[in-house]
Amino acid sequence: MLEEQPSREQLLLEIERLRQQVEDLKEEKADLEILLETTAEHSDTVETELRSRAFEAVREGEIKLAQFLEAIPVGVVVLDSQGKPYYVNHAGQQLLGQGVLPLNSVEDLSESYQIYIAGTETIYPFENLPLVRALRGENATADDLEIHRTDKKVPLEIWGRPIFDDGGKVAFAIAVFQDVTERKEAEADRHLFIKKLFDLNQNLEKSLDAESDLTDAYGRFVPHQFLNLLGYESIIDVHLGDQVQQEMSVLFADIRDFTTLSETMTPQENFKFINAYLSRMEPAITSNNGFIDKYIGDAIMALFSDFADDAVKAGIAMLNILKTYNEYRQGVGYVPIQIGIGINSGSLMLGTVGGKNRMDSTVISDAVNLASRIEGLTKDYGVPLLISQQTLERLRNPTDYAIRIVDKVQVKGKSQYVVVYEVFDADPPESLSAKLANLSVYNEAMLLCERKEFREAGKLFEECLRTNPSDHVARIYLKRCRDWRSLLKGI
Amino acid sequence: MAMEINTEDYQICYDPATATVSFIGSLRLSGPAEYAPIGQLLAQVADLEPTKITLNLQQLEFLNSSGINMLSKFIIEIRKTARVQMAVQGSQSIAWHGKSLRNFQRLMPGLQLDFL
Repeated sequence: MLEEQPSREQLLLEIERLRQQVEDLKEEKADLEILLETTAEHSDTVETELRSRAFEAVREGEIKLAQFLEAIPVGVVVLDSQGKPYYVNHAGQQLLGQGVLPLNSVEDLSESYQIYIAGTETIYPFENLPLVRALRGENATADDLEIHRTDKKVPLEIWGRPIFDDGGKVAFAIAVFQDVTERKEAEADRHLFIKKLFDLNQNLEKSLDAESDLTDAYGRFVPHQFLNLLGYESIIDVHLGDQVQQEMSVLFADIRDFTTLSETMTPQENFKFINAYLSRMEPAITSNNGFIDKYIGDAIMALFSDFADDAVKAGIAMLNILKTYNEYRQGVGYVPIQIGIGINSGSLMLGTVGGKNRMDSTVISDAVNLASRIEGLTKDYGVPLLISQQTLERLRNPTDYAIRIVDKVQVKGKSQYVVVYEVFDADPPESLSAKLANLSVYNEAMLLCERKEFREAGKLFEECLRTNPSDHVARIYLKRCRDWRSLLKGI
Repeated sequence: MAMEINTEDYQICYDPATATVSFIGSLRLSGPAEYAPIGQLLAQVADLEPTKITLNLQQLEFLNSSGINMLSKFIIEIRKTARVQMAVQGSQSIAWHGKSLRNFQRLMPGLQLDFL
């Protein structure tokens, strides 16, 4: 077989082609070299640029942070994890009196910065410092610290916080603290103020108690009820000439033959006796809604608003108390006493009289005078309790009481007569039942007397006395009848 | 024919009137694969065979290594056609332009380089 020998032209073409290829490849290699260099250089340029920008940003950030920290008006201290002071801001340096100190250890913190327990000369135990506790991972607060500077002691409040790294270990401890002098002073002021207020309150209470006592005391001399009737709450408000007109009942009570009795006693004994008597009688009045207007020696003048029943019940109560008192007196060898009570009802004028410097209360009325007269009649008729017609008329239910007619009196200056009645509820039981039994006979007798039929009247009175010999009124009227008969006979 | 690419970080657009491709923003795509779309846009511009292609990089703030690689390859392609002229506009105020864009002239000696 013949091998095809490539022709010369073919070889030359092949050489040319290969030469071109080499050229192309050279070119490509050149391009690639340039490309590589370009890319590498560009990368370097860009990396440098970025690095400087990063540094710039970090620096700016740090500057800003420092500005913020410096601007914060409270002190800021940062310790590293070893407890070495890392940073103290401006406010902190001012408060501490110094900046970052080279410390050997955390234990020297209190000593170096002169931190004490407030109000003492004891160095603050370092393990309790909020900053140190923060180093141990605790959030802590304390407000019982003081910095002892050369010129003054500054009370502080400190907050401590740990700053953890990604692994959860304490990387830094930060403490924020401020001067609480003002706050402490304000607290002290407040305490003082509260104490003052408390004292004031105590004094006020004392004053009020004293005033209350005084008012009570006044009330014993000028009854509240009197003031109330005049429309006053307090005695301070009362003026001269104040007056009020009221429908009331007035009760007079007097001890029989007191003058004779008092002559047998020494002045002290007199005084003691009067007080013993009056203090027994007083409750009878007050428990029946009355008030004692005045004492005149051994006499009592009492007033009752509205209800005549109250006055009458008071009178009966007084007589009952008297019974018990007399039993006591006889028991200890004293002479028993008798009292007379007169009650009238009507329009009374209550008011203040006197001069600017000496005022007194007074009750002015014809009704008062009549009550007094009626009381006087008790002696004449030998009965303890007499009431007027006006009082009888104002009783809710006269049949509740044991009442009988006794007399007619002419009121001074007037032509009218006022009928006077006996209330004998407090009589001894035999007398009470006897009088009640005789009541119709008695009433008829009085009527006959009125008609001047003295003979018939006398007979009926005799009948009364047969069953009730101790009926003083009947006895008096019997005598009167006989006297008038003889008088008439004489004409 | 996509003559424009718009993203949040960069915008690339072709102006036929001036045969200028403008690059605006920051190009930091990772690798030739991600630069492919841009490469395609440039290839399309080259196919149009204008007399001169201008690359306006005045507002290209940032370009990573892969990016400059891509642009460099494009310039080599244009040089190889020998029919199209090339102009590149950079910025005086962007730091890396001065150094890096000069290398384009090494790749294509006739390339017109202006810093505006």
